[in-house]
Amino acid sequence: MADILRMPSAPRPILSARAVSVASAERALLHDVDLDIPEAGVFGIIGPSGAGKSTLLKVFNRLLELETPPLELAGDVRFRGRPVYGAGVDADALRSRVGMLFQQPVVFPASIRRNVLFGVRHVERLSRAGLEERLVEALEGAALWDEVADRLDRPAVELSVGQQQRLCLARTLALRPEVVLMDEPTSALDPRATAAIETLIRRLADVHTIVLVTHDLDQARRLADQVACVCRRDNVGQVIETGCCTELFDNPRCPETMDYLDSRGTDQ
Amino acid sequence: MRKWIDRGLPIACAICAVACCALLLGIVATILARGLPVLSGEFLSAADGELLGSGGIRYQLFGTVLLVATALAVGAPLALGWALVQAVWVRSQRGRRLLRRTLYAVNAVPSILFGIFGLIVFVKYLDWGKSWLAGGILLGLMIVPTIAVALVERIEALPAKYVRAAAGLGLSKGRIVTSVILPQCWSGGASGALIGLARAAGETAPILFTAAVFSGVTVPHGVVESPVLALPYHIFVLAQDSFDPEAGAHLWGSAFVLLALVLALSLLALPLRLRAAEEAQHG
Repeated sequence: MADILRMPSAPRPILSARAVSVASAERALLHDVDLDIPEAGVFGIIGPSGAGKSTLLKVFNRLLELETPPLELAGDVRFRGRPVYGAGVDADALRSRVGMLFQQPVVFPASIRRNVLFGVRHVERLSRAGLEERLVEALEGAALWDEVADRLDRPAVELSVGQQQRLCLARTLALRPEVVLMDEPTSALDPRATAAIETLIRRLADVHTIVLVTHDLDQARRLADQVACVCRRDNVGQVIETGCCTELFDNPRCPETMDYLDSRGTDQ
Repeated sequence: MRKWIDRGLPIACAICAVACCALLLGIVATILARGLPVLSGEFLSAADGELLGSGGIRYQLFGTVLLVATALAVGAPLALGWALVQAVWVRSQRGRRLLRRTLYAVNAVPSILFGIFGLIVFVKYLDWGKSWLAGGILLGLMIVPTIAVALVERIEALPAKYVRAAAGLGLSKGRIVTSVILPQCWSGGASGALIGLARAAGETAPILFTAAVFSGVTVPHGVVESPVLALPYHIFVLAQDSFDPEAGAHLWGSAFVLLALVLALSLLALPLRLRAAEEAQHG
């Protein structure tokens, strides 16, 4: 029911890719990707390992440009209808609006407070009171405030891995991004921490657009409103199929999607 | 045959290691044995006397510290810039290789060539005559590779996840350098700087024609025609007259002080080096 209600309500995508291809010096990684990501809700990206899901994610906030050796990108990527690449586009400003949560939590060797405010402090000019306000808002948004309120100046590395991942989410939320790209954010977590992150994702989806790369099909089914399947066809990653969750999981149209769903079904 | 190699190789390596240690200990022990008796408060604080090898080494110590401090002020920013260009700004592997090889080539330039370069540029062309600044600049240029290599190694060992995470938060490259890379890599640069300074403190050739004189000066009051006294040059000149017992005693005392200075700088660098290695290992 939720799928039906959410799907057609976003006529203009917040993120879109047209004929996007990515290649390294040795090989093509993604080919001819067309994808529209609607505003608000959770957009899942599934597919086998090495198909190019994470690469596709990095296309949207230009983190692709940091890859070494450099990758070549062709095609048109847009955020709210405006080109993401090209002269005059501020990549740093874009990244603060299209945030990213990585597979492994990356905490800086500093206190919890400094970690949460790490991006805000450099990107925005806020007063001390403004920073404190943003700190509380971000930690509450990541459901971490109750657990760390009394030890904000303790080193962030003292937190459990699950808490560290939520801290990273808080750090991203502190910038008030419109989109949060999540690259398998629960793959390093235990079931309890995974459940906490999943609850958060669902809650955040009311205000933010979440793009979630996941290997866990049950997770995709639980969280995503729409799903895209990225598979290797002709030895290069391609978006094979997109659709709402029930449609793609229960009635896949492409053989690659069927193979992938079958293999994951056997695995799980 | 393989058995012989398996048994012989560790023994050969052990002999080499013991020989190195024995040689080093021999040098240190000789300098200690001959230099320690000369050492006194007066030797360190008094100015040199009128006769060769008489008086103390106050101004030689002052000159050495001045040259080393100038070398640090010149060498550290240059090395920092070089390391950041090589490890952060240049993205092509070819460009990085070229910079790395250039760095090693500069490191291999004999110190006397730096001295001749200084003689031509500072003493003759700029008409500074002998100047402490010329010596400091030359020593600074000499230690650039030592500092830059240590810094580049540390930056390259910094896990890419930190840079990616900071970039993902919208930090510009400059901000990433100042907020992520430098705070986590300063120990590498500092240890390189201390080792470089230890080397600079003991160099004679670059200051021979450009900055140092044997006697007759105290504290420089300008740049042009303002040489200094320096421990390595002092030792160099005294060594030519070491048959004179007075000069010999002064020589060993000066050598002891220089060795202590170099050793102190190297020992200061050790914990920083260990910290850098530990940080690189644990990310």
